Amino acid sequence: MNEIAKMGAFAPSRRAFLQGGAAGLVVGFTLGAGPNEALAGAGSTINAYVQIAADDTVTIYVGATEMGQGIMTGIAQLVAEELKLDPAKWSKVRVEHGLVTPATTPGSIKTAPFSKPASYKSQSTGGSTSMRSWFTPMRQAGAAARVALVDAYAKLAGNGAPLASACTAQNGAVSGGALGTLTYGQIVAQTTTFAVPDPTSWGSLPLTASTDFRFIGKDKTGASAVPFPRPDIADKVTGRARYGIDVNSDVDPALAGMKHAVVVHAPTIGSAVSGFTTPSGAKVFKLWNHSLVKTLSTGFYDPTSIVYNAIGVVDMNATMSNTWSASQLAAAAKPSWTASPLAASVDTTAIFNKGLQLVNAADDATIASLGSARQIIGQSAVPPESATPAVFIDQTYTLPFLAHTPMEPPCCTVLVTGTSAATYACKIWVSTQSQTACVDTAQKVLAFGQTTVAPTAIPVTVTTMMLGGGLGRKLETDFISQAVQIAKQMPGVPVKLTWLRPEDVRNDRFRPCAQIRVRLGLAADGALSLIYRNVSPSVKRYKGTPYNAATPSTADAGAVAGVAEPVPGSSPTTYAPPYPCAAYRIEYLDNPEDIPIGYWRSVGEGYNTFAMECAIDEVWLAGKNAGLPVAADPLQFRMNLLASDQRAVNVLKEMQSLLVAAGAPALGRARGLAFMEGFGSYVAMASEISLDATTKKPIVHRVFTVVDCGTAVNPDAVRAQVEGGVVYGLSAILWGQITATNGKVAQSNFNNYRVMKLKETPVFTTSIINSGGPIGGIGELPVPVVGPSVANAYAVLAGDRNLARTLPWYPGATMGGL
Amino acid sequence: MAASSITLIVNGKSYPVSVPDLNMPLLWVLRDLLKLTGTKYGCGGEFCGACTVLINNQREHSCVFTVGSAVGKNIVTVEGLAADPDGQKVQQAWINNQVPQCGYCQSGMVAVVTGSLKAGRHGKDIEPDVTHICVCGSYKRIKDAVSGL
Repeated sequence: MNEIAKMGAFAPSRRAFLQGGAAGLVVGFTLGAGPNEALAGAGSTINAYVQIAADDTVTIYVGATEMGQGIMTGIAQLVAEELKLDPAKWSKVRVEHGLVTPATTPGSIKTAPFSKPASYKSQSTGGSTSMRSWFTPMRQAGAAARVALVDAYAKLAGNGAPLASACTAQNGAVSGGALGTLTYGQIVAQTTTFAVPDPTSWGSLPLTASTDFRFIGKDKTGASAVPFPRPDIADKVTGRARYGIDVNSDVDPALAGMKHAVVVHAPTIGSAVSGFTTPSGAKVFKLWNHSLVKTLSTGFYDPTSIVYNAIGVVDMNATMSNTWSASQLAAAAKPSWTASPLAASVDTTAIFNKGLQLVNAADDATIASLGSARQIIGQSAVPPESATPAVFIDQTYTLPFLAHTPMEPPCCTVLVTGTSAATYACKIWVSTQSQTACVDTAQKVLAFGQTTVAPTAIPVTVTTMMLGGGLGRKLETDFISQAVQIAKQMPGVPVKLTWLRPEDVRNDRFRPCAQIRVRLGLAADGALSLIYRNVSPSVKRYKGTPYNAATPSTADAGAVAGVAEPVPGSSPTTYAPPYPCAAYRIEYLDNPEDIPIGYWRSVGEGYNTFAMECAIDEVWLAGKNAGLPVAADPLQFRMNLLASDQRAVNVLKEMQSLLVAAGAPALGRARGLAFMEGFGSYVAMASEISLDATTKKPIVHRVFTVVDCGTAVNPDAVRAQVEGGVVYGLSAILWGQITATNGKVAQSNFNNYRVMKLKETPVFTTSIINSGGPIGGIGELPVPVVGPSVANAYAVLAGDRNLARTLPWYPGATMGGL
Repeated sequence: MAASSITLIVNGKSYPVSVPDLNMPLLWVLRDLLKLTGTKYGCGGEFCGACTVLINNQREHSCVFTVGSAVGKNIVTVEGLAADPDGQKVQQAWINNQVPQCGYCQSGMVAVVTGSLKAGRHGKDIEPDVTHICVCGSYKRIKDAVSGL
């Protein structure tokens, strides 16, 4: 588990209400409110809806954000299953992002859902948590709506409750009474009186047995079309889909007269604006550094933490305002900047060197002298130093800073009305992974400069647009803060702020670099002993977002996620390695630098699983070379270590079958394996590689994957996540690297921050095991394992691993080259 | 910068439009002034291909193609591909193979592959034309989709 996963692990507590009339049957309910919150009528915290209209369309408004992972489709399948809709009428099912508003207006769908009660931890999409959070609640909502429809049918038939038990719902219609068969649409057209089961009883509503599923888990067979195509895909190939960057007055007439703006950040991280000119036709605003802003205990931003690190330039042209002209005006504004106090700190070579010193530091005094401290996240009762392994590896793995590079760069459209905190109202249209953080940021920006009106009193509405990729970047709200800062100074005028790509790459919240030292011993009897030390900048420590404003002294278990796994049932939580170890200690050392960092798809697992899965292969080889009775191969070695976990064993067995079925790799190729239990799921991955004739480095040809995420609600979406996650992971390990010198980031665009292309894409073989275990995540699952599987294949081919412990494989790559 | 009033032919329709500068990239005229937002900005430097449109049936990167040089030419954007038999085929292949994830780069993907069909290339021969970037990694499905075209 990691911080994002915890944040998103909603404890569903629902309040439901019912609405009839023109909108049809509407069942609204709340996910994520505190467990002790009293149930209310049409309350202020409704954040998910199922709506059934007279034309039989079923619309589901949800808080999970669609960023390509297919969550809208999966959630629709859950509701459709329990509503007992007709699979042949899938096209009648729609899913939309719910609107976030400050207050509920019952019955007005488009202006009601997604307010933010104080107890609601977060409405965010990250950590591969959506399906885990919503699998049961969305099914219960569907079941509640179904019960209400059957009951309404019985009442229409004049028999009331006694008949209801004799009526059945199937294929989107109710039958069993004198009225014959009525579709749900026909029922909602004839009555406005519905009795939705009390939400406290939803847990006892009968849900469809997995053997009777008609929507959940259904897959294509052979060359047939997928049974439940994603409803967003047609819009995405015809240009109709609306992303955050596409917002204009066609999306909302309130945006007539919208002005386009761009941002220019200080070229050196930490610098402040010292001057600029205002070109004719432009407005230029100083914008503060969201990364450095601190929140006071009163809820207001601390004015002393405000540093202006960027300018926003608005093209004020009456009829021709556009992004390109804004960028021309920005160049003409010629901003100047102060020297950065952080420049020396934001230097990736220096950070790496410090990381290596920390990872090798022999004692706590040395660590303290380097400004850090050991956090022991997990340890056995027996110290690992007392183990007497027969073989022992002591290796250090290093991973670079990475950028997210979502295809759609950060962009946000804001309309502020009112002239003071007492009268401000703010509407935001944005691609965001965290509606909660978006509201919180906007409120604090709007409340800034006065102390009488609390930030939370300022009404903010958020319309979530399609995300052109999230990857963790759009959990951040720096771009939202900037857009609100501008709009606040232009009341009544809508403004769209776009980050051009170089601003995005240079001013990302980077995936932390990591130096990881693994001391892994193998005893003659097969027992493992482990001393694991991860040195990386702590995302949790790093300030600037409302959901991770932890104190620096708080241990950051998320930084060692993937190696320090919570022991089930432990309280307080204790952590143990993913492979049983007779003795172990897992240490985390913050690399205390100020380079902006954030969560990146696959979070802590992204670097820890790389180190651990390489080390497992290394210690197996060491054992084999020493003549220990180790397993025949690294797959069997893992299977033996994980023998007590049947799901793990089954995943590895299935991988064995896939590899046997594929036959031996061709001459000059080899396969390497990696395994992970993470995000509530299990994954085994094998990469088949050869070595490039010139560079002698990996070319990846095939990737075999086995996943067990409990139940794959939409198997085709699971395969898509595997394919996409592998490509994202390969881009990172082959080329991904952000470097900075004296505060200046060297990379700026796709020509020097290289990502995978079609011609380099491997062939996929993907197998899904539906174990029926608890629902697990999938979005991040493939990302951490592809790197070690390539490294392990390389070790087989090259006969050593010296080049395989430092990522990326091809540093400094440009568009054309490897 | 000198504003000009011009007429663009986009998806078979005439669009009179005032632009601030004839050197303005076509991309931003389409997106911000004509409100045809299907064509996407990804990099601004011809690295990613998200902004690809067809101009007189040739694929062009609208992020660098100046609006001045587009005057009088037939511009086809993703919004117009459904009216084109080749474009329609490509879109249907994309739907059948469930290609897009976030979908942001797919306007450019669909446009470039439509251009390939118009240039007489089919099936696997189209693959070298797809030099675009898809950060979601939909490439496997793009290969599947073009294999049937």
